[in-house]
Amino acid sequence: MTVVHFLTRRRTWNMFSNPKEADMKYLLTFPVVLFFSLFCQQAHAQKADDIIGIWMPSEGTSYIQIYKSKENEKYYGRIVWLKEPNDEKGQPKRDPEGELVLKMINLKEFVFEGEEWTDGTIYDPKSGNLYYCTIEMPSKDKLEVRGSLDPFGIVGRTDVWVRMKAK
Amino acid sequence: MVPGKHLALAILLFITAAAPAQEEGPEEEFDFSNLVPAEDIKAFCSPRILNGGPQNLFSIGYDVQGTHDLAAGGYQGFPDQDIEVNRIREFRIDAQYPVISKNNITVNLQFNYLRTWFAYGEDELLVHPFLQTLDENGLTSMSFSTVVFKPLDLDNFLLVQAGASLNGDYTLGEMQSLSHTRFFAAVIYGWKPNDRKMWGLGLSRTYIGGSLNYLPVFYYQYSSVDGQWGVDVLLPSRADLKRNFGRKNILSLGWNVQGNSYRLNALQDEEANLEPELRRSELRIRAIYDRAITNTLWFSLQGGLRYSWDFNADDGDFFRSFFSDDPYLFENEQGNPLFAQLSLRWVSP
Repeated sequence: MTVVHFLTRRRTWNMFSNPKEADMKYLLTFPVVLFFSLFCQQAHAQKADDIIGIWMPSEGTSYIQIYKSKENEKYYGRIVWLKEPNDEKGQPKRDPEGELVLKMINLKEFVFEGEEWTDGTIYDPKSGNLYYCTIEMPSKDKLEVRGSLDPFGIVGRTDVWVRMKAK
Repeated sequence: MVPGKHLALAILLFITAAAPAQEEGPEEEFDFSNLVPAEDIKAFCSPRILNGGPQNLFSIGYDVQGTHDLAAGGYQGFPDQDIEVNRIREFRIDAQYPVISKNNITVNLQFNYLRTWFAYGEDELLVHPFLQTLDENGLTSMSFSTVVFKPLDLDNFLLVQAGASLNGDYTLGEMQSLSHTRFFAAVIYGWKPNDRKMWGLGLSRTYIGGSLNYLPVFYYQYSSVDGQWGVDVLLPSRADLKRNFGRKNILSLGWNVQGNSYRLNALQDEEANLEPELRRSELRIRAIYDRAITNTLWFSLQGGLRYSWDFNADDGDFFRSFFSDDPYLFENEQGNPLFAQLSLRWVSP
């Protein structure tokens, strides 16, 4: 809706007896609405970015760094630390496809909708399986990461991740 | 110029300037080992091992047993009768749904349906009511159960199963009274020393031997470092040695035992106050070949020998020790044919 249309439409309601008074009041209302609109948008963006950081899945054997892509504004996660970075043969751990696990991007293409990060996938480098994934944030330092076989999250498993911070 | 426009512009500029950087790339050089959790969190072991194979969510299977002899013992004036069973066919449905699946608890609901049809030789004259009801009604087993996996920490877990089953010579069109429901349960305390091994000990209330029994349980899951070999054991019900050929082919060698107490509704004798139940327990020594059609759809082909452990009838439902010499209501014997089974499975990979 354009500003002109907004003002025009509001004027037809004729709530004020004096047209000039009505114009002034609505012109003052406009920045307030704009402010709240931008404030909400900003708050939404900040809330979306709350997921950015370093997280530890419940088993405590790895850290995942979640970041926002500069290219498509979507959220990704990279394995940045492994408790045991090498396999039994002393070689760096690889997934079943032979890719290095450390620094692997295993969370991909999440977007923030409503109160959750959705439309993404999570890859389990241990098994080599790819799952649909939705992430919720019950508190500022906890994530509930649900990987599922179906896009609706009906058959899946939820893991709790905790935010990591400097000592 | 309207004052409100200035105000709006000022607010817009303020917000834009105050906005933090929205894009962060991954940090390449950072000592991540110096980090600590922002909140206390307890680590739990997961309910599966690495390379343990796909987990069943829904499967349908069809099973055929070959020709063998069946001898029914005398009952209420009916003499012994021996016949030849041409074929036994079985249709089974197994479903499992994880209603809760979190890192600190997993709750699965399970449903199992097994329908058995008996086909005798064409020239057999059926006199014995037991053989008649097997021929006319077959056997049906239906059970619901709940399996709870409760990890206590990273190394220990509890596995609890409780369920109810309705077994008998009934059909879905002519159901058996729910008052003849039988209950089973198991509790296992386990250890998971690493991602590739978990084991446990417990106790079960089970009909696996046909009669009600209380048996110790041994649970063991293992996969080798290279992921090619594995062991899946839940004694006394099953034990399998697995060989993975890639991620889409699994060959298993082992055995399983399946048993239940089936109410024989056609043989109930109110005057004599007899409530015959068939104690049916079968050991299957088998080879299984599992192959992935897609990531979540597998087919399974198995074959082997079906050995009849128990096929006798008792009066009612009661505990019978494996060492008991108490006589049965009537005793039956059946041969041990070869069998083949084909099933289609929807799995969690």
